[in-house]
Amino acid sequence: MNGNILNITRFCTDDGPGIRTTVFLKGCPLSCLWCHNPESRYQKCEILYDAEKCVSCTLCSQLCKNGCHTFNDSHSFQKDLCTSCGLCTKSCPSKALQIYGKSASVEEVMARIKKDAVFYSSSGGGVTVSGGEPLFQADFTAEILKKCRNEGIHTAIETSGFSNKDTFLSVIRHCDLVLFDIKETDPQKHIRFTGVPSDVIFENLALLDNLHIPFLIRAPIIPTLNDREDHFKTLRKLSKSLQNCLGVQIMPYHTLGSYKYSQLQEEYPLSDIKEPSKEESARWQSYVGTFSYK
Amino acid sequence: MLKKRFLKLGEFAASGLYEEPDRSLFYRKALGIRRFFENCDLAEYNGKPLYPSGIISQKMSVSTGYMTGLTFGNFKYKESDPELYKCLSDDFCRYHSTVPKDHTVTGNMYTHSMPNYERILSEGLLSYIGRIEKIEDDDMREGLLHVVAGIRRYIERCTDYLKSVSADEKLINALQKVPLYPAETIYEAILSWNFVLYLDNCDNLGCLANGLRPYYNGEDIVPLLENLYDNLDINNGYSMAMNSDCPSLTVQCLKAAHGRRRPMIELLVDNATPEEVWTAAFETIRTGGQPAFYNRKTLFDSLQKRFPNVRDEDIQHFCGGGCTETMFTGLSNVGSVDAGIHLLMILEDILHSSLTFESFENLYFTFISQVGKTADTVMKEISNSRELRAKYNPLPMRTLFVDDCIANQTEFNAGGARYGWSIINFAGLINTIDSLLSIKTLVYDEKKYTLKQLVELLDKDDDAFLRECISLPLSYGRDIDEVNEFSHRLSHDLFTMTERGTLLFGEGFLSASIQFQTQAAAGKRIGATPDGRHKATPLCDSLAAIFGKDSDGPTALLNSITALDLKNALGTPVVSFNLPSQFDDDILKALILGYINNDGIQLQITYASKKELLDAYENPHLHDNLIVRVGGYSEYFNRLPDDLKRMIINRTIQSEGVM
Repeated sequence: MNGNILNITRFCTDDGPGIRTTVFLKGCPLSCLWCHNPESRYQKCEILYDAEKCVSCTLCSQLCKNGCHTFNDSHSFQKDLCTSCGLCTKSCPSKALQIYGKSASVEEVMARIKKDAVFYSSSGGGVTVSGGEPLFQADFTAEILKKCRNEGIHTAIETSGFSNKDTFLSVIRHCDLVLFDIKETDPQKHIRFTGVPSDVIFENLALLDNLHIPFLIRAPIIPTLNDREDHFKTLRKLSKSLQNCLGVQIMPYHTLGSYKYSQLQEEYPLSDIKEPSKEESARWQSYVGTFSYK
Repeated sequence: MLKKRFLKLGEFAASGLYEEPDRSLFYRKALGIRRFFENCDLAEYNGKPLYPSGIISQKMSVSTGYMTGLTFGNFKYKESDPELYKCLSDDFCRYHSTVPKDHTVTGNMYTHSMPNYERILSEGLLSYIGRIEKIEDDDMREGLLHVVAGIRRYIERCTDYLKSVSADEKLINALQKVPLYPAETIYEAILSWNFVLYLDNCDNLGCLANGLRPYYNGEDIVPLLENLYDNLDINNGYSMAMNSDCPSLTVQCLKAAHGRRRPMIELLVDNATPEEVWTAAFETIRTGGQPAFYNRKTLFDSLQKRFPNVRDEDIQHFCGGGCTETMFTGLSNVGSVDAGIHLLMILEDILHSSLTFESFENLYFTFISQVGKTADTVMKEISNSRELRAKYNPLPMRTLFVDDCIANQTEFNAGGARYGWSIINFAGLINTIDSLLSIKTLVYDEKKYTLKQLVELLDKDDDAFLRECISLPLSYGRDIDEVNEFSHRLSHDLFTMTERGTLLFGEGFLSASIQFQTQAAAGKRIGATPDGRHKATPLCDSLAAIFGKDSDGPTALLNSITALDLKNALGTPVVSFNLPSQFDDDILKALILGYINNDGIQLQITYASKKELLDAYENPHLHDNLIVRVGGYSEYFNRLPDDLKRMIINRTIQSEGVM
């Protein structure tokens, strides 16, 4: 079985307990305004073009069969003509062109995951499947998680929870831990900020709790959007009402991924929003309480 | 006549060498040592609990030294009385190493050792007289008795001096007892240890915690240990080793090392190491102190496999002397380091030769063959040098202090110690792995260059080409299966070369990867290399990756390291890691445990961000206390030569979630 992956990152210590390997899948049904991995939104492979690195060698225009690359005053990349064959990325001497996403089999992913088995064991770590949205490639995600469990490797997913109930269940039953994103507690605002309704997400959250699988609520907080008292209050209330909730982890807004939008030839929708200070983030966290992975 | 001439100059040790000129070198040196101790300047009492403390300046320029027994290199009258110096030189400086100079990276018949501190503490030095009197050889027996008499007189002089300056009664009373008689209290034990350290010219502390354990009852000994460590540090001594069989003692030994460059502490760890020891170790490293982590089980099992005669009780005396060369406290004579094979120099010679290589395997085979011939020559010359050393450089003090010289009635350099081996460094291993992989990729797989073209680019020190080499996908440090297989093969082929050597006066040879500071000088002697290294720049510092190639994070790097044939590099295979100071302790412990569970052997850590290192480079006066790990030992950053500072700045700072 194959899936589309963005990357497999070793030595992650923020995606669950201990030392972990995080498998980032490509494709997501949400369109969060603040998404810092925009290259993960679509399942298909994509070419990112960094104009600042381009040295105008014109190699890409010579290799491209679709005429995506033209050089007049400067290099112009026409993304809508691109089939993501990747030829231009292989020849680019300055890595101005890079391809994101590739097809990988479960076996290939597992081979990579198993390399750090000794460190999962020594640290209480394991594997986290993230994205994108792991439920978007539910069968692939489930297969990876199943195989990890067979090897005695701790499993986790980071998910928005947006899927139908059966799909959700098919994946989480292989999880030792779920990192469950709650982007917004107001239903109207949820659609505005993420492009999808929140009802199915909260239904899945309740289902998760009933299955007694431990989970941590992850709440991205975006100044001027959801840094509201009512939102924090609801998050706190939610975490206390759910039996298997390990707390709420505030994920303060950051702009680290904003440069990728220009490389995707898109406009970053939140360019006017500033990152919160450390003090602000700490205040938010203390409002919603503490959290842990266990 | 010569005796009087030296006496007139106040060179009492040298005069002792000529009192009985017809006796053996051993005897004459022993008598010289006695005269030294009878007349040497004493350390100034500075109120410290241990005596001596600090540096002892000597007016005599011929004085004791652990490598030669008595040192002659600083003889003050070399120019004013060349005839006198020539006599000394002709009689006592005839030993020279015959190891080929090109292959002495890190060491050329250098040697560290440690006295059998524990025995001196438990039996007292005077008890040695009974054992010495059984020695049949007159010169050896009488010589050692002279050394003991000299030490005895030295102790009397010290206590008389301390009384004259109204020193602490407790110190005076204790020094009247130890090290001549057995220690009974922890204070006496540490005082004795310190005194013997000075007698041994402050080389290494040995297995301090193990040795102090019988005398320890939970007292707070941190101030005493700090005094001891300062004495080692200020006299440029090196290391000590310990496990955590007595955790509270181990923790105190670690605490006392806060902010101190020395000793380099070799902390033997395993899955059962208590949490308090880990916490104390990380705290110490954060302050600049220097524990490194050693895999007790794999190291000991592998050492006993390599040398099956090593007894279980003796292996507990493991201590990496000097930079961390494997030895046993009080029981061994180890060449540390006897030679260092310059791998890149050999590769460079092959690439510039008229030989052609139809395939990569041909090139590889030629390289291994050439290194093998070099190793065989080096090992032969080490044994030859040992023979010369036994003949011309007897060491009475080490013969006294190291078992089983007295029992075997054999001088230290002539094979008297219970164990002996010779450590050979394989310098530039990681550079060599990446260089060979570059050649394989560019010349034989992708056929992008001919070998001749590659060599021409290297000779030009071509920057673009070297950057291309650095960016090649197949390189060490990212846990790539194909690279791991190759690096295991190469390291196995190299490290096992030392198994076939026969060592005079010892069990055999041990391979190692220890650079000390020599990676810079070794790099200056060769041009650019296909791993991406520029001409005349330093070789790799340790078995960590180079030029930032370890871009997949610390677990990938550690897996790459454990893919090497470390069990055949027990001399020690040094690994240096840079971490940011806020690195999580639990994660670090997990990394270390994972690494040793994969049979990693040694790991040493520097906590310093790139920003801090760069600032220390630009503004050294603001970073006087910045201590770093380099090449197997620890040093103040400011004291390093420029090229080593830059090398450390360019080390990858291991951090989280690397993509």
